Amino acid sequence: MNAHGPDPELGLLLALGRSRLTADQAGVLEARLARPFDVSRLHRLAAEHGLMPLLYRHLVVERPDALPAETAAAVSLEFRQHAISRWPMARRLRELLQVLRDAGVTAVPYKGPALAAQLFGNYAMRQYGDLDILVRPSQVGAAVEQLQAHGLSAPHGVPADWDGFVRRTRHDYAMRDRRTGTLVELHWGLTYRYQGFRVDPEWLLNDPVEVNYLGARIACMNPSAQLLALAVHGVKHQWERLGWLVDVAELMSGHDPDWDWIDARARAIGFTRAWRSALLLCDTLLGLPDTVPMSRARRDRPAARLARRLAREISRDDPRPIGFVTRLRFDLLARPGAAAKLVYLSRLLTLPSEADLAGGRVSPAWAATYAVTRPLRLLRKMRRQGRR
Amino acid sequence: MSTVPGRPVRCAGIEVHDVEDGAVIYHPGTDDVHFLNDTARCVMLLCDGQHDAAEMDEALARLCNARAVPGLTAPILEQFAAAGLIEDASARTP
Repeated sequence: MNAHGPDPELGLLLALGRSRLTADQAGVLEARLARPFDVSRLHRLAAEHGLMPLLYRHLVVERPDALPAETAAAVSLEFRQHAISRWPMARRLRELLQVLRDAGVTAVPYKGPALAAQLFGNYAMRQYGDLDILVRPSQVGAAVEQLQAHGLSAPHGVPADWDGFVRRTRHDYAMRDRRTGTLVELHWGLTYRYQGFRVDPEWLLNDPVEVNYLGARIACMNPSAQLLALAVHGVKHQWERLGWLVDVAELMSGHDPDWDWIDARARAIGFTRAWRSALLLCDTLLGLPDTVPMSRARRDRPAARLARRLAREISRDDPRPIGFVTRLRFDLLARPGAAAKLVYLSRLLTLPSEADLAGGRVSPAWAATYAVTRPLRLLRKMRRQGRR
Repeated sequence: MSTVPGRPVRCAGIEVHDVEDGAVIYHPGTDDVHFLNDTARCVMLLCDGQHDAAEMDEALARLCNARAVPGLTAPILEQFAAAGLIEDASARTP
C-alpha cells in the first residue's frame, strides 16, 4: 500500500474480498478490471492470501470474461480440485462434532469449513489445511478420549510429564485423523499463555447459533463470539492472510455483531488496541460500515499506527513468513502499557516452545535451566531469519 | 461401457452438495468424491427414479429455456453408472 492506494493486483483482490458484492462494490471491481493488471500475479496472490475460492466466484463464475480463458480454466480446475480435496475434511468435521455431541461434550468448530459455510454459503469457499474444534477446558479429557475412540491419534508433541504444563500454557492439542490424514486441533483456548489475550472459552461456547452444514444442523459460535475469536487469531498471526480479514469484514458488515459485547471482552483481556487496529485495518483495506466502535477506533492513535504498519506489511508481497523481529515489534505495539509488554516479554523468554516439547529437548528436571538458555535460542532463531 | 438404468435413481447414501456452479458428489460405499458441473448436477438431481433419459433431455431443455437435444443426458448417465452412482429404480426393494 502506498499513498496512491493498493497496486492493481492487490486492489483487485481487495475488491473481490466479499461473499456477495453490493452494486457499489461490483462497480469498484469492474473499474479495477478495466485497468491493466498482471493476471498471473493476481492468481498467485489470491492463492497465497486464501482467496482463490472468491476469485473463482467473482471472476470466473459471475464474470466469465474477466480473466483470459487460460487463467479462468486454471482457476476453475484449482477450485474443483480444492472442493474435492477438502470434502473428506469437511465431512469428517461433521462426524466428529456429532461424536462429541453424543458424548455430552460441548464443542463448536473454529475457522475451517464450518466458517466457510456460515459466511460464504458452502464448505469450499475458504482455504484451510486442518480442522479446529473448541471445547471447554473441563471437557478436554473427555473430548480426547472420544476422538481417539473414533480414529484420531493421541495428541502429539506432548510428553506425558509435560501434559499439565501444556494445559496451563498452551491452548490446543494436535491430533491426526487416521482415516483422512487430516490434522485436527482440539482447542480449549485461543492463545499461548505468553501471548496474553486469554479469551474465556465460555464466551465463545455460550449462545451458539445453528448453521446448516452439509445437510446437518451444527452449533457454531454466534457472530460476536466468532468476530472476537477471529480477531484474536488474526492479531496472533499479524493478519498475514487477507482471507482472514475478509472473514472479519464479512462478519462485521453482514451479521450484526453486538459491538458492546465485543468491546467489553476486549477490554477485559487487554485486547482493545489490537481489536481497534483490526477494525481500522479492515476498514482501510476492505471498507466497513461506519459504526460507533469504528469512530472510537479512528480516535485511537496507537491503534491507527498499528493498522498502518499492518497494511504496509500485507502489501509488501513478500512470500516469506513474517520473521521474529517484525513479529516481536508488532506484538509489543499491540500491547498497551509497559506492564503488559514486560509480562509478554518475560513469558516469551522463559516458556518452552512447541518445537522444544515436540523434540523432547526439555524435561521437567531441566526446566530451571531452560529459562536461561531460551533467550539464546531465540537470538539464534532471529539471526537465522534475518531482519524480516 | 456400463448399462444405463431405464429410470435411474441415486444409490442409497449418495450425498450431493452444491458448490458454486456445480456440486460435489460423494459415494460412501467407495469413498469416491466427484465434482459435477452444472449440467451434470441437474442430471443427477433428475435421477429420482421418475425420469428416463428422454424425459431428462426435455426437463433439461425446460430448465435452460431451449429446445430439447435428444441424447444429451445419455453420456452423463453412462458416467454416473460407471462410477456406481445410480441404479435402476425398479431394482430397488420398496
